[in-house]
Amino acid sequence: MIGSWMTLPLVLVAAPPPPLDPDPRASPPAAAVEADPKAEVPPLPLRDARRAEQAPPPDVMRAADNPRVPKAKPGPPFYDAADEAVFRARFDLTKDPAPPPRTVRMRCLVADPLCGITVEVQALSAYALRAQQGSVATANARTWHSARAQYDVWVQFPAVVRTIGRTRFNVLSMGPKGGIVASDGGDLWANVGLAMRAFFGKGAFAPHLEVTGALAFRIGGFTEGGAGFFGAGRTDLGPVRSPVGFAMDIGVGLGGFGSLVIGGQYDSPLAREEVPESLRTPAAGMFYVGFRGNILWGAPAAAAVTTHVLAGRLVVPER
Amino acid sequence: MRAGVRPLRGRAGVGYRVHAVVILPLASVLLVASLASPAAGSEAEAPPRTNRYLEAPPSSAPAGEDFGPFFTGPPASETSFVKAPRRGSGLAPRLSVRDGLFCFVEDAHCVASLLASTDVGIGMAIIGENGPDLPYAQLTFRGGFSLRPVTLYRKRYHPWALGLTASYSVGTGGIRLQAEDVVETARTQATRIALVNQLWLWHRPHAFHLDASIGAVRSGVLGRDERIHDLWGTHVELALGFGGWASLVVSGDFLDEDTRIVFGFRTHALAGVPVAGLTALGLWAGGVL
Repeated sequence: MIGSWMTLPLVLVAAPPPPLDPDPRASPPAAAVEADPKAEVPPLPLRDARRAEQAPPPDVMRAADNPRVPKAKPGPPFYDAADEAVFRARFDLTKDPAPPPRTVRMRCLVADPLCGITVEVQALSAYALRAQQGSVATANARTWHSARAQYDVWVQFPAVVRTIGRTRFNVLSMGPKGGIVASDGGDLWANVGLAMRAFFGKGAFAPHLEVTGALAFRIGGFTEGGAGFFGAGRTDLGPVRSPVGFAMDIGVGLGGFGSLVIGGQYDSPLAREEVPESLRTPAAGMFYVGFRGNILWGAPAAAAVTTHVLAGRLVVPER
Repeated sequence: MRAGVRPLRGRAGVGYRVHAVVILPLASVLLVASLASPAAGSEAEAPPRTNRYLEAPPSSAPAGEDFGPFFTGPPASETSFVKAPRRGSGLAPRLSVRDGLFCFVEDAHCVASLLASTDVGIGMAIIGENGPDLPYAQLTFRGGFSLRPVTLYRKRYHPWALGLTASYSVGTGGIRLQAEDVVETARTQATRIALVNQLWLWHRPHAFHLDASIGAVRSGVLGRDERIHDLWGTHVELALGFGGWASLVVSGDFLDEDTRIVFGFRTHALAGVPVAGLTALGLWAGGVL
């Protein structure tokens, strides 16, 4: 893409101005040279110069229509269909390259080895073993069983492709991702990071490996008398601060539909010396195992919402 | 903590409501998305170009393809992903009208675009001598539009776009040290209006772009009198965008004795609103909200 952008100025070459007559760069006529060898080239007529200056801005012109751009000539590097036929015969290939193996499902809204750039909304529902460090003096770290629901937006760009015939297959794609993580007690985190997916095959259900890594940070949680996020609610859920931690996971799955995921998250403590005691937060984190998939086919979204609801109803956090 | 500090939390929300400028674009995006019909399935069914601001002379190049100065059509060896073709010229996004004359999801081949996004970010709130610098996280809703002035004037593609946005964010509360006490607010809300300068780095769909925004922010700052004062400040933002779907953003709000620097991830409302909605649904059904 960068190459085509860099050639844009060439594509936008101005339409040729009307032919200039006489050409100021042409050599003087032989008769003039014979008469006076030091004779100067006749200057460009003023009206032509003005006409050239006042010409309207040229419209877009493609390179092939522009007489100033050299035309492609047969032979390297300008291969045409006839050249390709020669090459295919030389290497005992069939006359025509293989057609695309199949059509793309769901217009690339769900990742597929046949798709290039994809935009996905992923939902994770997982069991989580959470932990939180207590007082350093008593070393009373606390662990409890909980759940994790996560909704992320992934934008994936192909980084490594495999080509068969005229068809490209996505082997490795990566790009930015971000979203919301939820657990029991109204705990909410956001995350900003990178996601990567590798396909091990070309089929609609080709196995894949997903790896994600992100900065994770608290954005919400229990705040007594907090009046909600926007200051107008009757809830104890409100904004909560934390330093930047991180979350990473690995998933294996089929065809971009869904993955079994195992991962972990670490919440950094806020315990600098100059921070007052009432504002400090302990180190915390979780390990999680679950299922992640694209919300467009429904099941991952339903599973994540159910997981979140069960975490809110069944897990009673310590305050 | 002194008595009498808690009520400050309630006052933090006074005077702030989600602005109609943010709500209306989001609603219109959802409406259009719900009514949008599937794109044409083949080139033969593609409607004719109707965007006169990006009209080009007829060419032998197939729709959506341009192979530079030496080829007008794809070379015999050209390869591609198998994907559903885009509408019209093949360059405008599906969620656009008249071949990119107006796009609901911004892209390189758009004359005017709706900007509707949500983002999450983390950074620092810097309050100088008034207390320690603390982490600051915020959730932002943004709406607006962008135009291509040079494209409109010259009727051809140009990489520069100019936009106007309004945004609302809610973030973690601010603090102030008063003698031995810590005064804190429950949340930090901010509204902003900004002028966006976009430079699209190439012409093909899902092109990357650099966005530089400058504008004004109005937000509450905890004062020496332990009250929240609504102040005007400067808002500056730099973003690297990936088509119209996502951006990595660094933004700063510079207010009197309160500076907030945030790094975050922004996504189009079409993707961000379902994320927020599913989260809210889980909180509500789980009895937390």
